[in-house]
Amino acid sequence: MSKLFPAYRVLAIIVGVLLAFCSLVAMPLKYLATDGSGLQRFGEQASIMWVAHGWVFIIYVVVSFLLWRQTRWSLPFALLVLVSGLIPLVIFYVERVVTRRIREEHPELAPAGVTP
Amino acid sequence: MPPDAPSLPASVSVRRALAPAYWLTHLLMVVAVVACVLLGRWQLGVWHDHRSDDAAQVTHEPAVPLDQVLGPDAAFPAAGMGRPVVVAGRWDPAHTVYVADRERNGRTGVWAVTPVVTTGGSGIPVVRGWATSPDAAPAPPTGHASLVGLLQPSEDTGADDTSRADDVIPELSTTDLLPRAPYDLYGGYVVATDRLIPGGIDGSEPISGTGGLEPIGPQHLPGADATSGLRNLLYAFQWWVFGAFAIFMWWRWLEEDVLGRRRSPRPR
Repeated sequence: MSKLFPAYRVLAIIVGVLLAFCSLVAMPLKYLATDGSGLQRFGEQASIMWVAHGWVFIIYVVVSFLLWRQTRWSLPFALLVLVSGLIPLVIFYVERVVTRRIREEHPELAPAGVTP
Repeated sequence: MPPDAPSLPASVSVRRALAPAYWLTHLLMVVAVVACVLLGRWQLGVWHDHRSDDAAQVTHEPAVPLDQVLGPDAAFPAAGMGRPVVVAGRWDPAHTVYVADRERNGRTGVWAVTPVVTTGGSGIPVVRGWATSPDAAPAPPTGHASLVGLLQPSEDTGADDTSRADDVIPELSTTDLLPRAPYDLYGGYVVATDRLIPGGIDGSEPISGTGGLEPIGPQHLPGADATSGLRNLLYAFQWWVFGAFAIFMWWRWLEEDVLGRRRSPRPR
């Protein structure tokens, strides 16, 4: 189970980057850029990344759930971890909190030698 | 791995799981699952719309003269399915037929079909519309015909025209109609619309013979592009996967954290 925590961190970063790109770059370009302009078309095509975000998020949810079962976080905190994959930028903050809590409360889950 | 905790009697489990402290969680859970199901169905609907829009797009192309799409002796072209075409010629009311067993809004009736003989001398069956029975259909039009119709391939379900004496036929098949008509027939038919003829003679009203009949749409349209709206289909499945996993998480949380029945193995 020692791979669970590193897997969580990697997935959290991927979900966070995809979500930030989709919601803060692709979506504004698609709807706000001048119709038919290169930027607008780029925004429209880049919106396909929402699908990638969706499926990576599903894996993220499964891994977070398994981590929750190991750590016995309180229900509100567990829900925050799960839902943060849907709110732009929040997941980066949540990932830091999770990392701190795991290091403090469950050092056995955090393999040594992983950079902070 | 620690042994499983002794299981509680069912009644105790239910009472504990339904304690007021957990009501909010249960409610959240139900809302989340219902939301996932509805969002998935919504995306599935968007996917369907994409596909039917794509398929129906051909019917909104500008109408072109019939012979440009389907010649009198030509095989039906794949690109002709659902194309709007301009049909001009003379109505042949004497060879009006009624196609039996046609559903419209859940009612069974007939299609009223009158051929138009084009300037080239070939006939094209024109479905003027739907009526409850041949007797309920208005008299077929006479004289000059000029209309925009949606081109359709001849039907060929293999239904036999058992009684050639009457004017009711089981399917709109060129093969069945040929022995009835004193002229050559096109290898397809059109569904009449009331659209104006593009660039028509002083923008005149179409002489489409649809009056007194209920309109029918195109019966055959080209298949939609396979990838059309695929993203929405994937979204739909994503929502349902979320919904299913939410139920799974809820159940594990109830079992382990609320009822203490089972413990995940602790890491060593």
